[in-house]
Amino acid sequence: MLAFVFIVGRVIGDPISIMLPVEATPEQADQLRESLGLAGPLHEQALNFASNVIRGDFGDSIWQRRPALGIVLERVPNTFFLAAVAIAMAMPASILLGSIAARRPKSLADKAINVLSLSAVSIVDFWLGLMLILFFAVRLGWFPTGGSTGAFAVVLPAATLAFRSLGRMAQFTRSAMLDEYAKPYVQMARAKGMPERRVFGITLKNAAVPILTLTGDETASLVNGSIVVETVFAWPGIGLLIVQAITQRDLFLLEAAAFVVVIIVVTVNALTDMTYSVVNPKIRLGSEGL
Amino acid sequence: MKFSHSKLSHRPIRGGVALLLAGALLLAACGTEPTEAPADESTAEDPAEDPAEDASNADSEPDAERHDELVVAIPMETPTLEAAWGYQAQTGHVLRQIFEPLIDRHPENNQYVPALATDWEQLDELTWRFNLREGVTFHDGSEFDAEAAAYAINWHMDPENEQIGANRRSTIRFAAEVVDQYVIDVVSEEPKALLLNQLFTLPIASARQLEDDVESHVDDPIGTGPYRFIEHVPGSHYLLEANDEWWGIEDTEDAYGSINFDQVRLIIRPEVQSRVAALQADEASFAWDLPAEECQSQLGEECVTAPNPTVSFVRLDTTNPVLGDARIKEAIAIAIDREAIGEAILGGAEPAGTLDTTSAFGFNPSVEPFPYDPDRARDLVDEARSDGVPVDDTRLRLLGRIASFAGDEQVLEAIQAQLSEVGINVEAEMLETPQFNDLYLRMMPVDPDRGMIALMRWPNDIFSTERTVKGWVDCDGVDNQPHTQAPIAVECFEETIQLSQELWEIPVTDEAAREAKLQEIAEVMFTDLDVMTALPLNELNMFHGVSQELIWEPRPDLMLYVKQMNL
Repeated sequence: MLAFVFIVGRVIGDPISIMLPVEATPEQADQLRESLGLAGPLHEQALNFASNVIRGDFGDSIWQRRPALGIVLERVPNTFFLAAVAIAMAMPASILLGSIAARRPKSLADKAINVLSLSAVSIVDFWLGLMLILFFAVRLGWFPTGGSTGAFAVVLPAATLAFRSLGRMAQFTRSAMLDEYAKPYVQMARAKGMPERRVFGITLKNAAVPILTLTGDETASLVNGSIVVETVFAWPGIGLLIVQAITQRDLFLLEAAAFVVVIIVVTVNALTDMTYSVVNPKIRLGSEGL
Repeated sequence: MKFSHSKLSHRPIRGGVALLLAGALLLAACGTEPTEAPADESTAEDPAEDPAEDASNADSEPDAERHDELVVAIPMETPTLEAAWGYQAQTGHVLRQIFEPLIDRHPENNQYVPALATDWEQLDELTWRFNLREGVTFHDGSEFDAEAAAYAINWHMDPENEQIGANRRSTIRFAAEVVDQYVIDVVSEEPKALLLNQLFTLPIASARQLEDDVESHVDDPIGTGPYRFIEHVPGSHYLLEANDEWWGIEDTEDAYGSINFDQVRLIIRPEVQSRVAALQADEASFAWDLPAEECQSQLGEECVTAPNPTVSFVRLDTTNPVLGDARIKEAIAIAIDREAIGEAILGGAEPAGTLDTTSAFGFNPSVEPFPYDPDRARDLVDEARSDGVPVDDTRLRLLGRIASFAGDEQVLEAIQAQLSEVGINVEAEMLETPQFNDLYLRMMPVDPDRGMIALMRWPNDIFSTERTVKGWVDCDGVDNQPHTQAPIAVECFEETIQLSQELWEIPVTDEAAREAKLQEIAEVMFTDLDVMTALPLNELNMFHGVSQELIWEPRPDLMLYVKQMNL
């Protein structure tokens, strides 16, 4: 991804011509190009870029004139917080809805939950966010229209993000639970008179791994896919910063943001893998029990 | 581990989804009606019934009744908090409240007025003398005097400190010299008529800070303005508080405003709908720069139209055998319905006769916009075609730059359709900035086969048509850089080169003669088809959301001053 950002940023056109006012002289353009390390041949720039990345040096933001990586890292907690609240909203609700649907397949409840989850998956973030702002912020005044100031500022953007995740996770939970309910050990447990609540607990535990996998996936996609929601709600996270970096043609800031996003996705996936054995002790990574 | 997925029954699902989407569409179709702003919760006691008439009250009762907080929604953060960024209207919102220049512009007639300088005179072609205001202190307590002013000006002019992207002063080199405790001379290297405007765009920062702690200048702005900096939360907001030591509290005549709020919060809302919603929900009293359609349809009376020294235009590749033909030029000029485009797409933007607006020095009011006459345009095209001009065999491209101005894509499509109606068929496309610039900023000579009609805008925020002359006809003038810095036009003509040379020979002290020459050049540029390369379209407006309780009048220089706002 870093290589992609590097190449695209340099081959789509001269970034200097975009940064400078139209009446800038060629000498000023050359001076700026030199100072930003964009003057040499592409392979030289690539080598410098690679060696700088290893040292965590992405240069100074062309827009804000301070270390690009620092600017991105300032925004990471905001994006994490938003994603965490969104997952906290989506996960319990999706497990509940998916379990209810799986418990009584083809019932009215199951169909209603299917409709809801399909709609949630199909909905456009941008539109949903604006609708939530319109009704809950403008009309009712319950929440702020945007920004991150105040305890309730996170509610609407998190709800916007959570809605699609809820749909996906509810569908997946239903599917995973149905698979577990179909297994012989469940039928045996019921035949032996095990309370349904216990049966539910055991099947949920066994279905936890795929659900967790999806949760980790969703968390990673929330972190790197919150661009639209952060922009609509002016939430000062990485997504909004990426939009601003693109608007300002700030190549270095974009590269730093791409790097951080990659690290976050890898980290979240690794953490997800590590939780498997915690949730279900039968699983040991690399063990023969799998 | 394998996962199986149960089959879903599709028919009831589809019905349910359709029902839900239909309901959603119904909700969306309800739309948003412009809401009347409810009573402000701040301490306003006498809301103005006629904001336009009472605009003067915004600065006639200095801080007699201060309100708690004013919230302004802005679309972007300033790149840094250095004073140099304060010259730009789009990014300087917060800095213009903190810093002040030597001279400012009148909020109505755009003439230069005193700010940190009380008066000035031109001693010779290179030298301006400024008498400075006494009793002014920076927010850090240091005194504003000639030493401080000279230091700040020279610091900004130092190439080591200059930010190429932040200012356009690099073409005018000048230095400040101390004459007396409150008198400085500003001396330019060459005679420059635009020097005063450059000083208008140069906010004065604390010399003590620049000297002793220059690193803090990036994120801790210290000026002399009516508001001092408190905090900046990146991506969120700026917070300012009233400066009770501001000189304008006493000297109300030169202040052109007053401190009417204890605090000012500028919230950053990049998304248009977010700014609109903030105003509708009473979270903000002012929303800067909204597209015409959203502003007018969603805010109603709370949408204010503001002048903008920017003109949209099309530039013709006049080296092309079709676009270089005078008949085709005229046909294109009169095939475009500027009034309809202005009314339907640009929120009422008036047709333009030149690339400048009335607020520009040297503006020629006698140059009228081209009339809309598609019949004559059709005749001209037929005539040219009969004479062998390859109108039908030449590939012509109408190209715009994405996000050049609000409504640009619709304008492009309208122009394409209108040209097609008179027999000029063009391919229309909006390009990303790098692709557009590669074509638009191509050095001369331009390939005659190219056939590009470029839709762009001409911002003249230095308010002098001299900028237009430099940009469009100065192919061989005083600032000549032989074709290495191409003017915006694709072709140079002896006639206009001659006129521009005559302009540069006029002493900068002879304002009347310069103005007459600039008007003469404008007349030739925009009425003589033989030398015409740009066809002005519309004078673009800006649109802002203004709470009904907020008293504010837009300035011709685009600047946003909180001192000119009141409730």
